[in-house]
Amino acid sequence: MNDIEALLKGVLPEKKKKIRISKNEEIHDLVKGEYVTENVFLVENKFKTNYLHQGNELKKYQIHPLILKYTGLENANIQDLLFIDTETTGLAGGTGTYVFLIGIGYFTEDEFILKQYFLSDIANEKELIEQFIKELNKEKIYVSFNGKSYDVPLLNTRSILYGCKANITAHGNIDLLHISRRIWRDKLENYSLQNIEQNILNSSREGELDIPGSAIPEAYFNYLDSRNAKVMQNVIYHNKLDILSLTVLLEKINSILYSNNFADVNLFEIGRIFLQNEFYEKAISIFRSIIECEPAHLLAIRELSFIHKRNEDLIKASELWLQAVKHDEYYAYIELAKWEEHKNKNYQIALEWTEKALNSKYEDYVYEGDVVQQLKHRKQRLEMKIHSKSNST
Amino acid sequence: MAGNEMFFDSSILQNIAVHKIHKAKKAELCDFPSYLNNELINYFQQKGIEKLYSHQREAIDAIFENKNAVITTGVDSGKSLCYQIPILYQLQEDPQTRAIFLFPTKALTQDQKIKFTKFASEFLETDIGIGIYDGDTPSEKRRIIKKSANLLFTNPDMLHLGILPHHTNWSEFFQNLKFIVIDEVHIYRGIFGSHFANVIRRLKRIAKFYGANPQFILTSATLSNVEEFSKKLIEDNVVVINKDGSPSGEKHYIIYNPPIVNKELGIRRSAMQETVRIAADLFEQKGQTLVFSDSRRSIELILSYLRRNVDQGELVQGYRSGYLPSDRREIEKKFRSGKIQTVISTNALELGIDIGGLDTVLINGYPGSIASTKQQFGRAGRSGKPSFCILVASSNLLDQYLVKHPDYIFEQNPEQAFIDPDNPFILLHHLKCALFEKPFISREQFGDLPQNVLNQYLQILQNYDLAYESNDKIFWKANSYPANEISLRTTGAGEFVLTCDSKTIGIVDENSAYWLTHPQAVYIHQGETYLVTKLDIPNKIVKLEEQKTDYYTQAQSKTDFELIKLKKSESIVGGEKFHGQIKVTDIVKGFKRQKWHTNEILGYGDLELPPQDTITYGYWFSISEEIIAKLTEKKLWNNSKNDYGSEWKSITEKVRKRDEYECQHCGVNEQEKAFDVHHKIPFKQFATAKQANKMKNLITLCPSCHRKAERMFYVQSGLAGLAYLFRNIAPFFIMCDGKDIRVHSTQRIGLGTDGPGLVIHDSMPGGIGLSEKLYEMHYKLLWEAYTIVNGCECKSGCPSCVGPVAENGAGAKKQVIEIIKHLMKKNK
Repeated sequence: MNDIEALLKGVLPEKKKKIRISKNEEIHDLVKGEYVTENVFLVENKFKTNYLHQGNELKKYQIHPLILKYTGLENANIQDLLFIDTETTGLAGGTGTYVFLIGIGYFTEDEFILKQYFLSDIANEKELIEQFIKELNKEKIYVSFNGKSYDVPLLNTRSILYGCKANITAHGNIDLLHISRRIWRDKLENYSLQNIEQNILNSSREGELDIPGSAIPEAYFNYLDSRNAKVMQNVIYHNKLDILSLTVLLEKINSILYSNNFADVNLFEIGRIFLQNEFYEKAISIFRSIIECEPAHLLAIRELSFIHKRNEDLIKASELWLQAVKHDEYYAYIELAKWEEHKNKNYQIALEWTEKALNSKYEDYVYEGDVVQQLKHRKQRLEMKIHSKSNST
Repeated sequence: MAGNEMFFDSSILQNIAVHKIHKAKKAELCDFPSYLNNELINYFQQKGIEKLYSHQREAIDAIFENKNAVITTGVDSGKSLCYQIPILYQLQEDPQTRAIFLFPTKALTQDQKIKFTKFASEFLETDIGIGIYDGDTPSEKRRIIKKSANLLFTNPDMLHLGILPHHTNWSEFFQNLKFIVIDEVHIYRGIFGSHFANVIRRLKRIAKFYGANPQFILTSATLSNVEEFSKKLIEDNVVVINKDGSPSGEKHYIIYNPPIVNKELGIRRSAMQETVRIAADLFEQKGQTLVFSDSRRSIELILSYLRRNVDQGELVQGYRSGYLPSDRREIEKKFRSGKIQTVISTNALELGIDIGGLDTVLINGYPGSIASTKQQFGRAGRSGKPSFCILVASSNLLDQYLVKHPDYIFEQNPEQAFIDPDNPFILLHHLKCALFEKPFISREQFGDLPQNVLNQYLQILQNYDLAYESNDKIFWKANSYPANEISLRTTGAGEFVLTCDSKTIGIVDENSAYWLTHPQAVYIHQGETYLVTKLDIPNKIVKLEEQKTDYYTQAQSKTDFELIKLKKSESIVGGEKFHGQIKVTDIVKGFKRQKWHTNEILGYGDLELPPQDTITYGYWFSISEEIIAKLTEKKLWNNSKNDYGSEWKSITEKVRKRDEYECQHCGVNEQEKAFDVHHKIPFKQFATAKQANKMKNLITLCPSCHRKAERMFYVQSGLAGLAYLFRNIAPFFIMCDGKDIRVHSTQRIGLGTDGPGLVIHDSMPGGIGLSEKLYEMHYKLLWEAYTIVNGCECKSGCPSCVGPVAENGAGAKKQVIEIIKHLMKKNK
């Protein structure tokens, strides 16, 4: 140990004990595949479209228009999807995190192709990224799990770092983490892919072959030191399961969106997804069915009433508002007052609703300071209108 | 001089200790260079800038010759124009041009951004992006700035934490990076500067990766070593532009020394009160005055006192961080237009913000550095009219020093700025960051770090599994984000979070945490007192409880030194001086509670905290046995008899009995004559005999050991006084932060010398070269210390010389004078 090293000891990590593995096992000794460049090893698997992945069938399907709209690519079909998942040396972000395994999957006429590009030395990461870019030659839509904020920006960072001329971020991305969080809001403890597999897809991974995601960066560093790829075999397996699960999960979500039988989902959120993407009919039917089961579902009443209002069906909307005021819903007083004032010109009733709104004793609403201001204005205006009306008659 | 009487009444005039007049100076003007296009020249001429000041021309010429430049002319001499013109020119030539601007304060950043936005909109045909990227930038704006900013205003911390580790998001920016503008570069000194120099190394490395070779343009307050310092910071040649061609009106420099009210204790009337008195006087005469003071609290106090003292209180305003930005803009505007007469500000208004020239600048107490003082004074002055710069001295040592040595402020410039980018701790961290940012290619350089040293570090990182070598390249090899591990403004030790009611109210660095926030400590934060309820060392959390106390606490620590490697030693008058690598071990053993104001000791507490080791560099000197003997002979201490109280006799018997009639130092047993009972903490430091005579403070000693103990105490008090002086003046001569060095006095140094003496060391682990500089300045430091004590008007020690009597003993002043004499006298 030299002087500097001795001096710096306090701020350096504990020296790890090197795991000495006598056997030098490279990835090609353990996994079937081929080197596409000196240090990029390709593992390719083809699945017939009736293949059962942990009890769920890998099948082709019509993508629900909602998903396409959500992604902004309305004319795509399932063969345009590129399922992706990367394995990296960490979650820290920035330019010091390397990608060492890129898994991609796509449907052809009758097969699902899974390609995994494994990097056997950090120094050749550029070749790995170039392989990935080659796969992007067509207009593709990524299907990922948290890929919007993780995998794709990271691949882009690596690409810039190696001076590759490709715009990796220019593709659409169906991020199943985002969608799952909404569809199963309040239904799951966490939204990790494995938890979704267990609780939604009713599947579980074979323990001995898988590796927890958090152990992967360290495992790769160990592999670089030891040149023993045993654990990398597990990482490749892990990555393969992730991608197959993505296809199954997308299919599951797709069928939920098509179906009218919504069990174990957050129906209200699904209604809102339809609403936000302007599928009004579907949204109306979902909110209605919520209210049928639960007549006092105030949020659904509110959303539904505003769809009716938007569709200028004020009769239907007002029925809902009348429901809502029974629960002292502040907005409903105001909407009723507006309706009576502007549509029905029934100033007296409008005034009553306005006063009720002002008297609503729910403190929750008091923070809406300017709403109160507006109500006071409305009250004044209505009083004036009533006054001038009585004068003119 | 004429007009003096007009300004001040006699009660103020009589306390003016220094009055210097700088004559008015005419502008030295030059034409715009002909290589600029007419459009650009016309644009500035339409703005009223007919000609350039000579230094502006000089700077622009240098920048056009692709040289790095540092502009170090006076405050308000139009330094920013020096880079604004070349950058505007470049943007017109090539709209792809990118530039980074680093400003020391947010207010200045805003100010410059507004200026450039105006120039760009009025002058440039193409749209350019101008963005501020700092901790306050909202994330949606960040994306736009990354993509489209031509001119990026940011700060060193943001470069370090956010930009460099994510440089691929800025690839276009770096590809076109032409200029790096660093404003007020003198603030990057000491530890902060050493970090910053490494951030610059990383920045240059990334720029190079994208094929850019940006040019540096620096501005600085005057430093005596500006060229050396700038070169070391950017590791490149730099042209110094220091001949100021801007005009100035007649300027009066005044140091006002508040009168002594207690000669015994050397206490002067409070600087703050005097500041208020002078400001009120100036207010009545309708002059525009800017008052500087150091803390937020003092700003508020001066503001309220002053408003009470003047007729139109609304014409007096405060200004500090913590005010809303919109309020601050308003105050700046009104001050500029003369609608506000007096502004009381922290150093927030010291730098660059355009508030126009003022009649008077009044500073409440020396702001801590000459550069700062000059910057603040620079705010005064408008053409054709005399202006006044007044420093109201406080009782602090350096203030009083400046009263006696005003030339430091007004004439020459003693200040030098030092950095050491190669401090191993700082360097290691930044190499980790650099490695994270981009692999090291074999034989790649890191700034001016010698190749073999760089390789050594990279090897260490590999040994500790933080780096991986393959294909002649070295890669970062950890699942972490190294930039998060260090802040540019600390020594690199961790930080403790201060919490109260589970809310975070601040941070304290690890080294200070044991000192300031040990269990039961009274911790003062923004004027409030808190009691420490828990110091959670593993989790680095300090739990506080808000509590009003009538006392404060002072940690009692023991510091031990261990020599690692001696680098230099030399005999000096009266002893020997040394420089080398040392291990400093601090143990906080206990604390005392002292009453506010009277400093009376109310009690003690014991603590069990783990020791803290720091390996760093030190400078120490020992005093020879011969000198100690001479000093003891002279019996310099205040030897008046103490009245130990009526119970003294019975107490001594109790103590001797407790100690089994045995000298607690050498172990000899009492024979016929009763042994002495010694006060561990001197009797004089207690308010009452009862407190001094507590059993805990008493110990049985044989007469010989007692003499030694007393002697040691008095020598120690002299040394403590000398340490106090060194602690205060050393940062002044090497321009570092007070906390960048530590000074100890000790009975037994133990670093290859057993004598008593002082140990001065870098507080940064690994050192940043400060102690070596001080080692070289040994006699100068002693001489300056001597002039301070000798010139001080107090009787036996005060905060302006050897420290308060209560701290360092009543004899300290004479002792210090005598010690220094012996350390300076030529041997005949």
